[in-house]
Amino acid sequence: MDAIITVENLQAFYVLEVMGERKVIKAVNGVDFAVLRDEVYGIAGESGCGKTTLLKAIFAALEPPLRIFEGKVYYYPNGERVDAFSLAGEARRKLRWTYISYIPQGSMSVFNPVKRLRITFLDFLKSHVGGKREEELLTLAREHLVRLGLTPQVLNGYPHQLSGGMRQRVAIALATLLKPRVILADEPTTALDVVAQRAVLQLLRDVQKEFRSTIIVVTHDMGIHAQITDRMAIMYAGRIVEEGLTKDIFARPLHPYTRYLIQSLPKVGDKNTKESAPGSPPSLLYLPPGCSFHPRCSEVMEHCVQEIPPLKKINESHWVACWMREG
Amino acid sequence: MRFVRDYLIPRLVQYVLVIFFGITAVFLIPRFTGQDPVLEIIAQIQTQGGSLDPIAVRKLTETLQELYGLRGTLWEQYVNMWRRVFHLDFGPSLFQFPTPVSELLRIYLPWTIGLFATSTLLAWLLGNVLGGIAGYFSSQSWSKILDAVIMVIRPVPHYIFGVLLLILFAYVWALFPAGGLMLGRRTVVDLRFVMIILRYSFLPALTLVVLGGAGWFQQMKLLVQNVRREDFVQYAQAGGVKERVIISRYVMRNAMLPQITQLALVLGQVFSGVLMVEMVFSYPGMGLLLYRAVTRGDYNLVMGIAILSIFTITTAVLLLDLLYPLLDPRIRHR
Amino acid sequence: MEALRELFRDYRFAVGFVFLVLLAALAFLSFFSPYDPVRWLQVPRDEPPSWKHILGTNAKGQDVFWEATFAIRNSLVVALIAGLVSRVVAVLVGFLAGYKGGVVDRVLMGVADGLLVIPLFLILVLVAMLLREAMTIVNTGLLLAFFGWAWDARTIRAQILSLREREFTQTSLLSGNSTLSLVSKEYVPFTIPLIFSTLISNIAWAIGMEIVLAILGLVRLEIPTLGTMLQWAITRQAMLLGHWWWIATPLALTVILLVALYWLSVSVSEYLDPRMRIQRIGAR
Ligand SMILES: Nc1ncnc2c1ncn2[C@@H]1O[C@H](COP(=O)(O)OP(=O)(O)OP(=O)(O)O)[C@@H](O)[C@H]1O
Ligand SMILES: [Mg+2]
Repeated sequence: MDAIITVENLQAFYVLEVMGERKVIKAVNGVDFAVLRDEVYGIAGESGCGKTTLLKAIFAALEPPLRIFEGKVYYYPNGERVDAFSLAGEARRKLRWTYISYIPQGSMSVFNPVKRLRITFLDFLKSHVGGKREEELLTLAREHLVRLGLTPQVLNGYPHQLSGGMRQRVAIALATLLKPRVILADEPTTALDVVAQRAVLQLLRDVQKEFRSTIIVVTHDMGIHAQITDRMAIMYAGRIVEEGLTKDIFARPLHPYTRYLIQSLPKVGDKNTKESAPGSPPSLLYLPPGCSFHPRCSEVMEHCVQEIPPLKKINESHWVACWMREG
Repeated sequence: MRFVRDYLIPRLVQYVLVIFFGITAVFLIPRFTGQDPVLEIIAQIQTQGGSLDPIAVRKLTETLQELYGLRGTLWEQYVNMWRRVFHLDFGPSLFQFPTPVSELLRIYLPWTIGLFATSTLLAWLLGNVLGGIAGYFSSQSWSKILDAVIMVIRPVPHYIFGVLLLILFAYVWALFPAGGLMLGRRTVVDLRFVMIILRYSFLPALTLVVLGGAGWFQQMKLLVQNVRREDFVQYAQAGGVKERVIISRYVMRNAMLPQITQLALVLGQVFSGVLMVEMVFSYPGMGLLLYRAVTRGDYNLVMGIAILSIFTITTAVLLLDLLYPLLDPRIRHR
Repeated sequence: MEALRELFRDYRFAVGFVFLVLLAALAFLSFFSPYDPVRWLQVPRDEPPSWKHILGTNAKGQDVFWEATFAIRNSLVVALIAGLVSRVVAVLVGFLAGYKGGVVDRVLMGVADGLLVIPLFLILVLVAMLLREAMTIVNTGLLLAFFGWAWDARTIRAQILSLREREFTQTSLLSGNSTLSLVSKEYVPFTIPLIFSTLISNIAWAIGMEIVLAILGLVRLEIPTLGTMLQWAITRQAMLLGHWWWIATPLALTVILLVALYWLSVSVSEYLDPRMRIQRIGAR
């Protein structure tokens, strides 16, 4: 199958000057994966493990203090391979929204609070669609909203007049205006109630079906991954520790951390208290030696403390980074 | 409507209350300090050589008390004062006896309002636009140089800055007159008249615009640096929206809102600055009038100036408060 | 101490500090002045700077340099009295309004807002006019203090409000601490830096205000301050007569003093700004 995004040995760190001292936060620390055409790819992991940073790097939105130290991200527009980091400004601008689009975390606040949504939609359209009159662009925006099952009326309102769920859906509509091939969605359902969550998920599914886009969904909520993703990766302390088909991961989780994540999901008819991983995530400033998960792992072995486990292929589509799965 | 209840009414109430308490304070202060302006004036007349017999003194005292609204109980005086305020009758001025204070105010107030309004507006616009651009491009060297210059200008008080400009541009390098514009009967408003006004107003306005602008510049620079990091700006940048549009419609437009609120808060201080600058340049406004009134012990005139100024400022603040919802939809459409 | 070393790394703090120390030294010199600050005709009049009188002499027959040492001392005293006394009011009002909330808060902030909206300067002039004879250094300071607290009370209140939101208030009250010990133990340490930075800007405000009152002739003009020095120079036409040393001295001293104070306060408040702090301390 064709890849639409590939990430190779990516290292993206935050470099801070603290009291004249250089501190490096290793938020993404050697990540490899490929996302295929037409799939929904999930990335899971607890807060602070580097999910948002990974998406920013894929989107090539590198504001200081974030810096790429190693690795590459490739796009595949029109079948040819393009290095995302060495794209010139104008070429990158052209690919955004048409090839790759981003729904940021906390996208409740992505709209200009003092302008009607119409103006914001027009600003984004104008920057990519040339030679059209304002009226035509507006029609485009309206049609897009209707196709996604949203009322075009929202364009006449201000952001603060919409509910959280509605604002999230309008943000998705804004990101997909130009039918991008790849959509990065960062925590699209967090902070929404269950009903709004369902509506947002449905919208993402519709977008995928309607435009045949590839979607990368980042969320710490394993329930969402179970509902919507085809394949997924589990991230821990800036690394991918397990990757596979979503159904395989839920049926046969291989990494102890993955098992914790799945066990912490509430199940119907389950009276047991939820069990999450004991302890807290490590500081990305001072990673423990060996496998970063070893201080919290119940099955820790001597080897785990000494060496970082590589991501190993278990079968066709299932990979895991854990010394227990050696041989 | 919630807008009326939560926004409009509180502001109108505040408007009335501030005027009420402000004017009450102006009424009470002279009475608390235990000084009797009437006695002082009589003493002044006597030291100036006019020997008055006791009967004349008593008559004069009564007349002056009448004129100053100092007859009757405190309460009667208070009610009387409000009646006079509503009739804009502040009694006669002492140093231009018997010209009524209200007549003097009528002549001088327009000059002050003109200087105050234009210089405040100019300073606000200039400071915010420059500060906004400097804040957006804060890593560029011209932005840093501008900032360094303003760090030196900003702390200088109005009076001192005015004197410095006066020395530089009216004495050392006589480009502008050192004040002394006379208020004659205005005949015709022709080009010459306008040019004269501009010549005499230039240095006072420059002082106010530079000092005021420096303050707005610094605050706007800080605000913009924060707004620039907000999600909606970063997102528009990621989405390839044109930089010009981002600076004006996203960054400046949002950072401007707190600056309007701030303007309302500091308007009283700005007005005080205008009065001081008018004194430096002998500009024919309320500041100069105040200077003359104070140096000649003209209480009536000082009180008239104070009361009128309170009206002017609170009304200007109210206007700003009424303008604000037009620019912030979150207030307008709650 | 750590904080101080950090602050000195900022050139604005260092420069401001050095100039302030120099001016303080100048003020201290006044105690060794060979001349009486008030008496006239102690030296020849209107002489330009020379070795004998390094800043010349004025039309009153006084040595400008030694007069200036008194002026700085007195202006600093006025401003310190104004600044310190108004800090007491501002802190009390700010703490009370922020901590009690409700009606107390609304009334106090209403008063503060009222003081901010009306052109305070005019009220100040009105009072000074009535007290003219009594406008000694101390009284001038007190009068300025009386009108100079509103803005800072607001700032301090805002800080208290944000401290109140934090959890230690709850835990501390629940564990049976009295309100007073809570305020003194938990709030004061957090607000001291803020109070300090408002003090500096208030001192600058008082120095500027004293000058204007002096120009209006509303303080005792025979006592040398930066304001009265300037007042004499202006009313005696030093500008027109070209006696630049007489008028330039108070002007230059005032500008240096205020710029130094401003740089100090900007540097300190930037150091205190939580956003900047986080950048210094870094994440996790
Ligand atoms: N702008 C920044 N400057 C410095 N450090 C940062 C910055 N943004 C994030 N970090 C740090 O990088 C690490 C990874 O952050 P990231 O936002 O990628 O995590 P996340 O997995 O998205 O978490 P969450 O679920 O909370 O969104 C965290 O330790 C965070 O403190
Ligand atoms: Mg995140």
